[in-house]
Amino acid sequence: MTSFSTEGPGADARFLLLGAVALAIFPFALHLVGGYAGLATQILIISVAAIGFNLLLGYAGMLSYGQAMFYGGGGYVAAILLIRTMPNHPNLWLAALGATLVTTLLALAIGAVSVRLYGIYFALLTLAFAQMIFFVVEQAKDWTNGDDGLQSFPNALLPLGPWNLDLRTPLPALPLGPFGNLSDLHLWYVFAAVMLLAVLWFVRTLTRSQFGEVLDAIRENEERSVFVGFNGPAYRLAAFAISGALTGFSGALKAMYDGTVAVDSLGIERSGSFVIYTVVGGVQTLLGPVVGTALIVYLENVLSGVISFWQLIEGLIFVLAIVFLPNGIVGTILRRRHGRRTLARSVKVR
Amino acid sequence: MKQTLSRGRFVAGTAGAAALTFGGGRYVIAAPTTSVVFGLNVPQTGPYSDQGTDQLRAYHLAIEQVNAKGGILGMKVTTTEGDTQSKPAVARDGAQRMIERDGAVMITGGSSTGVALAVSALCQEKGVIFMATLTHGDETTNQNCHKHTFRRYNDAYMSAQSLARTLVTKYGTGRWFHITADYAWGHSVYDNITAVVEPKGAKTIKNVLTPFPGTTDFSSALAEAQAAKPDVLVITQFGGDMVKCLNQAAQFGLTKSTKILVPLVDEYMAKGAGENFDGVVSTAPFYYKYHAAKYRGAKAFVDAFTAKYGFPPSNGAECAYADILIYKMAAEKTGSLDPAKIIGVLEGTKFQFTKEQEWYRPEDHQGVNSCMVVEGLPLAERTENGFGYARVLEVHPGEDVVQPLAGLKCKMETA
Amino acid sequence: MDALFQALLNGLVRGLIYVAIAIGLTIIFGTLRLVNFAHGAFYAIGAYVGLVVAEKVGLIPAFLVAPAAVAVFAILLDRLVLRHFYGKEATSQLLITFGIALVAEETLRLIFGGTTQQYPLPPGLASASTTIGPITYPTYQLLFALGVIVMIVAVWLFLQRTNYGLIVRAGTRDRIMVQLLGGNISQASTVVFALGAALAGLVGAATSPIYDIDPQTGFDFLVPSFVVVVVGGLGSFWGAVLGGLLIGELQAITTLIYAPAADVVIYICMALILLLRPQGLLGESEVIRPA
Repeated sequence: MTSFSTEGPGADARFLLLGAVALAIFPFALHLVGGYAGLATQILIISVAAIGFNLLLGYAGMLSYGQAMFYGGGGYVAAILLIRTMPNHPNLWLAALGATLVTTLLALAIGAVSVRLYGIYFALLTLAFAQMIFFVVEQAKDWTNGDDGLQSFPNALLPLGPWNLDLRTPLPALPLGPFGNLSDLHLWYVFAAVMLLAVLWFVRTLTRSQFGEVLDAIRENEERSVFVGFNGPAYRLAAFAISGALTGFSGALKAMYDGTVAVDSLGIERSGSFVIYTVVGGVQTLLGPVVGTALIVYLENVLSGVISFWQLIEGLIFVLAIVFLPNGIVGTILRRRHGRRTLARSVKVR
Repeated sequence: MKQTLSRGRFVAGTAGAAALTFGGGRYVIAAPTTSVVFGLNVPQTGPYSDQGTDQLRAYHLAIEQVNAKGGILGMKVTTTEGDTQSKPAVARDGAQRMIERDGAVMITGGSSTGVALAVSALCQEKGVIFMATLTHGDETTNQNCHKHTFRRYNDAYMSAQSLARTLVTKYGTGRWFHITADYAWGHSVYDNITAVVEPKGAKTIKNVLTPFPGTTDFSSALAEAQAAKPDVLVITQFGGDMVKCLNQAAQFGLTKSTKILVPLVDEYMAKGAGENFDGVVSTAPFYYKYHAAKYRGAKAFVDAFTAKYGFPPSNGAECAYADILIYKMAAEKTGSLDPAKIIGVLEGTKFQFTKEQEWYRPEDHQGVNSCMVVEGLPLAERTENGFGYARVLEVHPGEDVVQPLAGLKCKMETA
Repeated sequence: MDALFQALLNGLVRGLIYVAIAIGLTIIFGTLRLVNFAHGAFYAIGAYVGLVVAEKVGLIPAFLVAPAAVAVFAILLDRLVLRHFYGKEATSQLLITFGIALVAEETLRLIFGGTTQQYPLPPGLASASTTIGPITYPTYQLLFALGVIVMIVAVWLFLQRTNYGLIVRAGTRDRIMVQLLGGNISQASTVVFALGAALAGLVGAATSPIYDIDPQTGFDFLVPSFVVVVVGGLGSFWGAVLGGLLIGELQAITTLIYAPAADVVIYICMALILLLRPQGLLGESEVIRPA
């Protein structure tokens, strides 16, 4: 067993260290294959939402087709907060936390009525709610500018100690040969990387805790878990709420990074994209959503400039992944390394 | 021989590094050395893919011609292209890639106002010039104007004014029914048209909003229109949506019984609607048959386009072509690619390429050029495989129909 | 008043389209326990095949070739891919059929381009209208409505009167028992799947003269069809009929009152059904607890 394992004492620290190193290398590796710094930042931010989706599908066994309502919802709330409550002192933390709070409450409300359903019924109900939210946002033109979306809202600054950081500041210039230049990256990337590590650590801890184990048991066989005394729906509601929080946080960051938010962040296609990222990357794995997001977003962005039928390729990858790699990319790799014990089966969901 | 670090070089280097480090948000684009990169951000899929693809053809033609004459400031023009899918977020991401990764100094293209607004905001943030091509909504140069954005195409206000001026004598006091795409452009057009015709006595029976995007079935709206028996039916839809709506209108007999107005048309929409476009009145900023007969620049463009591709250009293609030539003119006038200098030239300099003499207003960067009112020909009279679709009813000079400065909501940045 | 009449007639036509698609969806689910997100692709493929045949040969051949082509496609899809997903959790099926739907839509876009295409109806038919009382309505749409009704009756008779139909209906209730009793449920399943797909393909070809075609058509009709199936009851034939008509009329009336809400109103309807009566209006009080 290699000494650099992510189990046992000090595992968390090693995990974070490995993660930090990987994230430090990532944008430059991406540059080599036709990516660019902004793309790397976007991938990290969107991954958080995919992780949230995975918590729901992979660990709680719930397929939600409406995650976009939290993603776009988070984005809109952040934008509206910046425009209406702090136009002169736009504070990134406040906007992000405000957005996360709202989406969590929304998730609790929707979840309260939805978690009694399972399988396709649950999926369709989340879809229905997402479409309703879409409609509301589109119609509330005074708040959301309807179909035009919110453009050019105040650039949120990150208060850190005595400074107010503008995350759009580039890093100091340092030529790195074929990898570009250090100044290609902005502080946004550093911030997103830190946030992603924090979220990964959080989810990792959560899934290994008692909460995670109960969730596992409920996913496998809820009836039995109920007999043993666990409140199935309550746990699933909690999972839905946490997922909503993560997704909302991701959406808020994306909106602030872009400086704009539009209704397509709330639509069916957006919800569908999280499904694709996670399934391709590997459901039930920690890093699967990140890998899946990186691969697909990279293809979307770079491929679309080269061929016109890139969406067909995306669809083919998705289908091939489901048929040949039911555990996703990361899942398949892990299975090969650790054997069949670690990952029992493919998407086992009710 | 070892190259020593001269003091001058050291100071310059440090200053440069400092500037980059503390330059903050908007930073200087990497200085192009041997090539000028244009970002062509057009819809290649989705309801406006015809328009986007035609723009791409025009861009390629223009750039070919420019490079054949030595490029811009002696530098070859190269392109990076993307598919906006007519979605603001996708368009924005594409533009960002073009600027950050490919070093585009100018972004152009587009067929929807929502997309134009998103890209416009991004270009302003990045300090890159945006020559918005086919965007018709007022906002692009009104509420959402930006210092780096220039829009040559007619806006909704100009179309409405032109339509109304030509038609008001005949239909001014009639009963009007509207079917409007429910988004900013649709509302903009509706507001502009009613603002002109209602004071003259026209009665607006109803305005049915159709969800945008995504409406394939206009039958409910059309059924209502048919039941109302109006004198004029205004179909405020664009691209593939307009084609669907008009074809469905024919099924309800509306194309025969009512005068139909479509605020903006191009050759592909007219072709798609086929015989149902007979007698429909619309506006366009350019029509190849008319302009090629009148202006040498237009004839050269139309001939070159037809020679290269085998069919004539749509009006969106003409705007795309002109955008390239206009940028080149501005760059060569200032001798640099510095956006601030180019903006300075574009604001107010008069030029003439494919139409009459025209310019951009400094106040809002709206192009002041003519707007034509056209009427669809019967199918049998159309030429060139359906491209020759119209007879020109009237041409309104830009100054006559452009937004008055008085009510302008544009608050442009200083840089 | 006239406007209301028009709207109700519109709703009927729209509703019948949904019924035709939903019947296929629901009997496929009933017998195969397969949640088929690729059903919209059947519709779209039927539409495009119909377009090609109609342009080259004629309208009637188009209506014959389109469902046949789709049926062949469906059988191939079943044999090669979907077979492995029967009986798996609903969400695996959702994912694979969703993926197939994506690939199908994009392939159609690649072959036919992204622009809207117009269906070539014979000119007389294209602009013919019939007057019913106070309103005038396009003749083709009335013929279409009649056609769908005939088709629904035909499918009903198939299910009631033939052996396959018998196996299908019994299999909906108890698949294992049917196999134990010697019913060839595997063969019947294939027939059902092909039939459901062919129905969607036929409707695709027949509806396109009304709405024009683009690659997204399949998906546009898919989601409302799922709503219809849920509202009516997954697996219930008459549920699909009732649900389709209900949703169609609901959309038409909403368009009359406040058009932008026409989409969301069907989702509200679905949400209400899922929350209050998840088995649907005519579905059996089925298993919505953990399987």
